[in-house]
Amino acid sequence: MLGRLAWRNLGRNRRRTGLTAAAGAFAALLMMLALALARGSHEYWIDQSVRLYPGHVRLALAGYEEHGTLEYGMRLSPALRSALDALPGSVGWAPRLETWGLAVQDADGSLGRGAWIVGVDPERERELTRLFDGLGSAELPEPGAPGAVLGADLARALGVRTGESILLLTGDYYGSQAAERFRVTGTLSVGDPRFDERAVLTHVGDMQAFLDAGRTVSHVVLFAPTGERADDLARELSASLPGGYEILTWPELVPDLLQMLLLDDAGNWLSLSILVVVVGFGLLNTVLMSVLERRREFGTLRALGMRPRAVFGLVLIESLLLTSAGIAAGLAIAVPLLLVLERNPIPLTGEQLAAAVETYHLDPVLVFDLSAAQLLGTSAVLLVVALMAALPPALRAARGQPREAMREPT
Amino acid sequence: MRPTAGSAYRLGVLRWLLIGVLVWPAAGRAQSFDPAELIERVERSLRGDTVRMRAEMRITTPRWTRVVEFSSWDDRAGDRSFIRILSPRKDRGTGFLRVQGTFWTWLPRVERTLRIPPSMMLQSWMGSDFTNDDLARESSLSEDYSARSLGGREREGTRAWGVELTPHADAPVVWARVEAWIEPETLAPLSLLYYDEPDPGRFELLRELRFSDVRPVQGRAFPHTWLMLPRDKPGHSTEMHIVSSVFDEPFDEALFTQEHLRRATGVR
Repeated sequence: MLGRLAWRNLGRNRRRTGLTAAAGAFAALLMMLALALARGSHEYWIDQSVRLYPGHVRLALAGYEEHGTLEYGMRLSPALRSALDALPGSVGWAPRLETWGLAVQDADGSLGRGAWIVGVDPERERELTRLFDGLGSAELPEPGAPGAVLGADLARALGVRTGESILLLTGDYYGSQAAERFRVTGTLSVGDPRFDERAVLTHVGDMQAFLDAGRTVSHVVLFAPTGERADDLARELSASLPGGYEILTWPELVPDLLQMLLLDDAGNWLSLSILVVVVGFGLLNTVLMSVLERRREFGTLRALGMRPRAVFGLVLIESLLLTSAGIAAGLAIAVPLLLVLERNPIPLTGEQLAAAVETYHLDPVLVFDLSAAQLLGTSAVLLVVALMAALPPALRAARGQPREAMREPT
Repeated sequence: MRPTAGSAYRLGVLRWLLIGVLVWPAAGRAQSFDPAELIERVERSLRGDTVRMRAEMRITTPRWTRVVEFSSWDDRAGDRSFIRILSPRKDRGTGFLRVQGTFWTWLPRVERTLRIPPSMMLQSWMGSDFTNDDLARESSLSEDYSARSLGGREREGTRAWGVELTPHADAPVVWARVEAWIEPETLAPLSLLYYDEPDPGRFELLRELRFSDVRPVQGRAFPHTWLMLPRDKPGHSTEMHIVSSVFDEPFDEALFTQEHLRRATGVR
């Protein structure tokens, strides 16, 4: 009975009801879009950063993170290989053998630059990371004929071109000097100075021979289907291996990315909270106005025997109905819109904005990701706000004395 | 049971007697050496005017052990030295040439000579616990340090003379202090202790070089095993065995040239 009464009451001032519902719909839509954008871009940022090089999970010997030297390298035994292959939560893994050294131009040998020399498995990197994405037609280092892909800026600084050769000088696995001539098979530019200005990427097999390192690698990176599944993968990995290893996940490997995400989250929460408060006051205003207008009416209802609790309930139900209508309209727009946006990320135009995003080595696009939890959460938050906004007017309506209320002019 | 006044007195007398017995002969000897001259004599007995050596160096770390064989020519009088690596295979032919303050290495894999800057003289030589300076012998205990006597002392069951060496201001060394312990009869070195001075007045032992396996070579008591123990790297050590040594033979001038350094066939 109260529900029908509330529905009819809303119908009595259609323009006001429509406007308020529209405001609710707009708020719902905005919140859903903002949350989907945050979720989508975070997933995308994690994916892009992790797939540049670090991986979702990194496996190394205990102490590697602290020391990072060849001494803490681990032996990639056949048993370890098959343990890595057997992980159900992993989409793939790639070995790396890293060290620091000097890259010297071969022609006259006078020009040397500090280099980050990394042995990789090019086929696995191609499949799992975007390290070699910008390489174009250049060939990847093949095992057996020492070849190297140089960061584009490093190659420029050394004055070497594809097809020419460089000398790499560093310490080998035993701390003795290692020197080898490598043919430059290509240059790469990924937008990260760590790679563009310093990296020398070579085949892990050549690197092991160069460093006299046997089957030793620095670490192995593993990839999960999504960033959220990294912890599960780390747990799986830890359970399948004996002790003595160090297993880190991307938030530890790329701490500045995590900080950026947290900062972004904080900003989103702040602006969404402001939006919710504004919507709440708007609703409060509408409901309060409608209650004040109907003092006489509520007095009559009370005089006819309606209990204060029922009057209170009536006002609450009106507010909830109004907001629900808004949320329904919001959902009706948001869901199809997000389904479209999910498939078609919005490219960022505007040079400054694009440049700002590129400092994080990301493509300048806005990515959306729809999640049922977020849609439900937004709806629930708005309904709670509707209830809270209706509380003061409802109390007021329920408290009014019939005699005084009916004496008021309509 | 608390000691009575009488027993404490007896203990005190006993202690003084004991110390007197121990110190008497050492103190008598301690006055009989001039520290600077002693160091000069020790260095002469270790390096001669020239010395040609063949050595095996066993490097031990917690994770691996390996042996490096090399030949070296140390021309102390001419302030120059030459080293050629004989094994392992990967490093065979690698050469080191020092002429006064300049130090080069030859990398046969890429056929390149590299100059090793002075800043790298104290870095590890061939992955061992010896430094480039230890092997190339740029610094000299008798020339780059001033000596002060530490007297005679009992060290690990052997009587030894101690000399404290403090580097001259312009010396190409980083050690704040070196302590040399020498066997008084034969003048063979027992150990060298290398100290850092992290805070003024506080000395910290960084590494210890122990000599053993002393056998006579050309009239000198020559230690054939040199064990280097870095104090900051537990589980690491390098033991050098001198396989053969010839002192005071004249060296060919051509030994200390870039051409010889580059001659990978120059392995002798």
